[in-house]
Amino acid sequence: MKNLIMLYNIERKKFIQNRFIFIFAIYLLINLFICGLQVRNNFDKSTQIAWYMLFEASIFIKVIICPIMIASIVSYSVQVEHNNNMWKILKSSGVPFDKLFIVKFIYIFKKFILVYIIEFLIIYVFGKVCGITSSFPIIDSFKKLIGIIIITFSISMLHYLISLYFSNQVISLSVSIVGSLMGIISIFISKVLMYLFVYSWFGFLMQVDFVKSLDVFNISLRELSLYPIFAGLILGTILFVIGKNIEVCD
Amino acid sequence: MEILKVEFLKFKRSSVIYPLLFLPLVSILYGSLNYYGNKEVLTNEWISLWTQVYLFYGSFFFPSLIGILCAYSWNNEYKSRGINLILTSKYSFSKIIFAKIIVVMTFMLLTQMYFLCLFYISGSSFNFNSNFTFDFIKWAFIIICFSIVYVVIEMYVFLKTKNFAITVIFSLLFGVMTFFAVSQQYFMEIGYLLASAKISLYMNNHFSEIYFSPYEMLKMVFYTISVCVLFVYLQIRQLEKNIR
Repeated sequence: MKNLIMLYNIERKKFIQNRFIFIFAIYLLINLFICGLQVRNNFDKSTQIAWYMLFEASIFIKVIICPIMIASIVSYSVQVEHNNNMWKILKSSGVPFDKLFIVKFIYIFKKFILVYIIEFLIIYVFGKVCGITSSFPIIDSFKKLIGIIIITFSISMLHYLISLYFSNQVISLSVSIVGSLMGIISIFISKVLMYLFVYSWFGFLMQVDFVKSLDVFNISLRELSLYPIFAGLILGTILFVIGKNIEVCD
Repeated sequence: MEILKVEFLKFKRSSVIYPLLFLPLVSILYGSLNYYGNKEVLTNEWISLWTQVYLFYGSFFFPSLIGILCAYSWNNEYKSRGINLILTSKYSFSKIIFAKIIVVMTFMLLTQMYFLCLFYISGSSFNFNSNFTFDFIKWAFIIICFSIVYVVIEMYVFLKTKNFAITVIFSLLFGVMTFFAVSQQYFMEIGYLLASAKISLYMNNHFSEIYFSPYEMLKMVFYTISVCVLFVYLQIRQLEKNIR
């Protein structure tokens, strides 16, 4: 335990002056902006659907931004060791790779959890400021938050492994860009494709449906799918087990 | 010319080719599938197909590609202290920066041509009644020219942060921000500053009515040149700071 804390503190020092806080700030601003655009649409702010409309916009933008953001930050944390042959130095120093693997991942992942919690708080405050008078859907929002965190877990594990195996950052980032594009389009094409691509699993957290009835679009809510939570946990766990035993390529 | 050759050589056998090949291909494939599934609603043939293939690719992911190219072109200099070799180079900083800009723009132009070829092949397979219009090529080329704004800004971001990952994620976020910035109706002048994003948006929403007066084009050119001059100057200053 003492070793883990020591490794964690060393990991923290590697991220001083890394400017990721600006990236997260821009991400939260974009979220706020897109919620603002959503509020301009004509929907009844006295019903709970108003809250779901805000979350809908936020989750949609996540499909585009989050995979690349996750891949960038995860690949940076690994690149810090790839540079100057640090992996070999760590190996010869007797640092156990599996502990380093866990500590690096936890350090990055907790940043994402914090950003998502702040994001949800911002959406809540923003909704209240914009005049949404209905009660906040706590249970569904909590399920969404858990879903987003677990999908992030599986995507970050995937890119963590790619970054460990390929020292070239271009590969991990390219996979995330192509995956993100495939993810966003899969949401519009086919639910079968959505089940297969981890990058489109954010789409399952969107609950608002527009049903056309006599030239008028009515808003209805569908049940929140728990598929991404279970699939994300399974995929993330499998990748975690593989990752602990991976041979890092320099 | 020699410096251009050297800059192109740095991209030889690089893995940057993979996103440049796969991203347009995935966009065309998925866009075509989406068009095929909604043919009853999307009745404008070539234009409707364009909206399906270019919407997300042009607005969000094309700036990311530019980010990867810009970051890659400078990243090689920072590996193994290669940046010190620039000090010994017979070329000025401005020449090196312009050479890198030209190389990145060339790759972008080739990618856009590749995208247009795939678009033409996809559209031809649908046996449209209307003909492929030259306007697609014309506006795609104009978008590339105005995309130099993204190039100079993202190169500056890399020189400032010296971080590949941050440059790429910034390029995506910048692409998203520019998309929303040109979509709004309050500050219309922003559209002329971000001409590439504005034209991409018009191509997706009002392709058949797309028209810019000579005055508007002149404004776009003026803003583009101003941004380029500013950010090239900032790059030179940052490079001098980095080397000290």
